[in-house]
Amino acid sequence: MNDPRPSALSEPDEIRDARLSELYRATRDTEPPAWLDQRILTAARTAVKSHPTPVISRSRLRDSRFWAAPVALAATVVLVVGVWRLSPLVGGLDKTPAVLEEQASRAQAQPAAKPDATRTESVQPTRSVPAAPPASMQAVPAPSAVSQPFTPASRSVESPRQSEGKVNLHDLAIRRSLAAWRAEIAELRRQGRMTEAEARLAEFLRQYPHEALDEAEPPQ
Amino acid sequence: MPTDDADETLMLRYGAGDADAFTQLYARHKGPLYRYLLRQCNQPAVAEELFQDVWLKLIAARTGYAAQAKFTTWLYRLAHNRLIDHYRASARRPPASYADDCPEWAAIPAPMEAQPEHQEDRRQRAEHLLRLLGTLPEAQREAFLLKEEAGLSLEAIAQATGTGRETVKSRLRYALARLRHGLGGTP
Repeated sequence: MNDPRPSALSEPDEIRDARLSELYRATRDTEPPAWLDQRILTAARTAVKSHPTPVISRSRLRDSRFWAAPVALAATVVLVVGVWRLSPLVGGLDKTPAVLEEQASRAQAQPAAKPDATRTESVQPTRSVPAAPPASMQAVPAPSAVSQPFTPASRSVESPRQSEGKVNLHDLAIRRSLAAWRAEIAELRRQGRMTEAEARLAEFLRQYPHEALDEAEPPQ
Repeated sequence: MPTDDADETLMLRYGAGDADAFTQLYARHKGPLYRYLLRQCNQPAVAEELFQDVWLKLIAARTGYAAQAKFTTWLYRLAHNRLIDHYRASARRPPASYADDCPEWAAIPAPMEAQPEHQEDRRQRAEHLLRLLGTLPEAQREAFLLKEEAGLSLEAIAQATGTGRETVKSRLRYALARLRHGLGGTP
């Protein structure tokens, strides 16, 4: 006949023996040696001291990690947009010397008497030209009368090559003017119209107070 | 100062940096754990090494401890695994008694020299019990020690040793039968 008791109730009795357990408890006096206790306790304290638990909780760490990627992405977008917006300005700056050079080359193309070497130099990019004028330009002596009308301010805003091109242009204009003045005064003197010649000379000196007038003086 | 905090609470406190919590935990569990290891390997030097390894592993894993697991089960799970590693490192295969199906256990008689011929006092009988315990297959002895030393339930022993509840019950039943038989039926 089968045992009517549920097996669940009989199981604990199968593995329980009070008298055996009591007898075993009498043997439980063995302990680890004291030196081992000290070693393990020291290790436990050292571990806590050398690696303290972070003050920030794990949830806060998780939050910061959660926001790290979006913040990094936003920073990247801002950086890229900023660089992109700056790029046209940089291009414009790059183009500025070309515009000035084009103006200078146009100005130089007008005087036919200008040497070819000077025209060739003026169309080259400013970036590739050293600050000092090339030897071919230095070899051409600038007239002393030409350099004086230019102000320091006007020179400061132009590159050396641009100012060089404009100096040549202005130089030619002044030369023509000087030649015309001199020719006119000489002709008046030659015709004996000394009063008119002196009046033209005075007017010339007003316009060109620093110009050398030797050539305009009547030959002695 | 010792408190009545649960093991799990103390372990969480230690994981948070409270070294005193570990001291309390250690005081509670050092004896049972040491005896468990000593009686499983029966060599004090080896038991000390294993004992130290288990605690160091617990210290290293302090921040990862989750309160869902009962502390005692977790501790003896660490100890059981370390013991198995010891068996493997000693060029010994894990004892055959750890196999779930081991019907020959019941047929193994207790050693005749272990049976007392005379009535002994309590201490002598206790020492005799230890000698009988040493003759048990490792898996049965482990189940008995986890029940008597750590106070684990069948389910907790099954979790700690990575086996099934019915297997644990079977091991315990055989262990008790052999111990009773070795003690002359009247321990």
